[in-house]
Amino acid sequence: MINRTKSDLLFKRANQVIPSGIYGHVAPGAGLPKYFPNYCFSGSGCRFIDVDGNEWLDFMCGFGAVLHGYCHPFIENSVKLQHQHGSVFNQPSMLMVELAERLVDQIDFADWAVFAKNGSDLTTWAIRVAREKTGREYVIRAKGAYHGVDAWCDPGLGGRIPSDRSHILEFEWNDFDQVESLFKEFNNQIAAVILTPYHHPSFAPSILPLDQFWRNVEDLCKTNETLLVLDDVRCGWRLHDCGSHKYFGFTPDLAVYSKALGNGYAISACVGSNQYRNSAAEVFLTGSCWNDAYAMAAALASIKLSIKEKTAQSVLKKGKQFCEHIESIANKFGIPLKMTGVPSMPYPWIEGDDNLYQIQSFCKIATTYGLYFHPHHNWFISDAMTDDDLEQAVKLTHKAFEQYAIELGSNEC
Amino acid sequence: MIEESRLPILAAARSIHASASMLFPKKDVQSFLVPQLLSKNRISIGGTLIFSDHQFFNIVQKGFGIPKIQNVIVSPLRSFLSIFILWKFGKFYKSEKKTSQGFAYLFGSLEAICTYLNNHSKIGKIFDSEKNCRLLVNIAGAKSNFLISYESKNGWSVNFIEEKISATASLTFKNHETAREASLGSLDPWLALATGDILLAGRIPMLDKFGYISRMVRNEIPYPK
Repeated sequence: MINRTKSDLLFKRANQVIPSGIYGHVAPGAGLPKYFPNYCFSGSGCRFIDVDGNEWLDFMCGFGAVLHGYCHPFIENSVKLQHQHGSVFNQPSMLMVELAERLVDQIDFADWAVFAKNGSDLTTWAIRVAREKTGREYVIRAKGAYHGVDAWCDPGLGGRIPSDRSHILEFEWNDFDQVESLFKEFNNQIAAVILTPYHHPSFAPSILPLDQFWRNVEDLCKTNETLLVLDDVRCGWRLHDCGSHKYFGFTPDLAVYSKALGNGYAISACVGSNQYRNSAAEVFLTGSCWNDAYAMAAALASIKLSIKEKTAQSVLKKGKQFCEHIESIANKFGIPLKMTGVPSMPYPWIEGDDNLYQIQSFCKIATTYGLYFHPHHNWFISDAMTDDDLEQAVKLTHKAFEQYAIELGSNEC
Repeated sequence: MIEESRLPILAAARSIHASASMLFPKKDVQSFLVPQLLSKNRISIGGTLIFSDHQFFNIVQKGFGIPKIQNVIVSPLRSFLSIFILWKFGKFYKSEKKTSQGFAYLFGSLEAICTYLNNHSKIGKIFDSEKNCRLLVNIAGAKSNFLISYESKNGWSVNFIEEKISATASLTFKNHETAREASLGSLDPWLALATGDILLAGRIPMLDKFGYISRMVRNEIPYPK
């Protein structure tokens, strides 16, 4: 076991002053308690160091918030330049205009952009824009999809009342017939369909859209004058440099981005076409620090870098290479591992391991080799990962599978 | 249908009966603590010993409550035996030294949770999608487990099992003392998870729900003060 003295002590302190110590998706219970560190100290490239000084080869990238690597010099320098001027003022900085122009230039259907801090800020706001535009109440989403922390969609259990979801309808991903049925049942009552580019729930394999799925959904929304909202918070800039809709070949009405947008600086954006501009202007949107110029400087730099380095293509390629290697290693040891979803953010699934015991055991072993592999969430490939890093990751993964196969064998005996 | 306002009383009484069944394995002894809710906010323990809900609350929290005298007079011997076993059980519950009896404490708390799963509308709804799942609860190193599962006839139930079986998820307490603290509501679940006093494996969303429900139940039922 790795040293985790400071991590545990910090958690004990935290638990005195923070409800549940660490909350949300980074809570110990959501990952691998006693194996994953509780607290990080620093990060550079595709590695981070925890508070006990252990170095990790990272496959989570701050749960997707970091695309180009931790502390990327180009992005950090852009933020440093803005440090001379300040972060939050009485009015927005000019960077807000530059960033909106940049997004409108880059995303083919976008005529405007707005900004906030978190993905949830804008997935919820986008739904309100759809309600304002259509005067309708209902929203359709895929069962098990994550769209944020608000009561209409959060995966938690506390603080919820039945009316929070009384206007949310669900269907099984890829089952277009179900979507059609909902449109028939709630004729002229559906304001929006909100979907991620492909289905990437936690605790389950990712599922790519069937051939005609997006085309059909898009057509259905158009026919019914329902807004198609793309929640591109997790996938944005990891599938395509101009929005994930380009990767799958469809056009949404509104799209929400966050995570990789600021490469670790808190920022989210929603873009839309002129058709929805007036409705967008009517739905109140603000936050004290939402005009944060540091995060906007980071986002501008991150987008520039993505274009220059063709980052989406790069992480897809690196991910493909890594996924092929680890599937082949796993198969060599008789473990039917499949890396599901897209290669830049693959979800590891062992066939027959519906209750996740096997992947949990494997990821625990991987931690002893300094590999940060999450057992329940899709992984993220950092563009900072070099060929040498990938080679090292493959070698360590081999060792981890070797050990896992031995332990599996001895348990079976 | 049981009124939800009376669930704390029923859950506490069933919890006592379950824990006592591990401490006093003889079936006839256990029968003296079988609980039944009666009308007019009364509860029967062992058939003849009858308390108002309020007095039963006092028994659980303070260790002392006054039964309905007329029923004691009708069946004095059986009522006396019920009182005696309740008293013995109370002594066990307050004992700090009985830490090797983690299973007895656990059985009681899991029985209380099952009572809520079967009778509380919100809690039942939260766990409704888990009806095909099975949850193992155990103490590290022990060969026996508790299995929580659902059957359409009896609803959710907890059973003590000796054999090794597969389950959807498992919750393991580090030792008997941790299980005891958890059962008495004195274990911080977040800290216990982070420090490894509680180990989770398997389908985490099911454990998340179970944790949420168990904390809800813990906040509702009376505990010894």
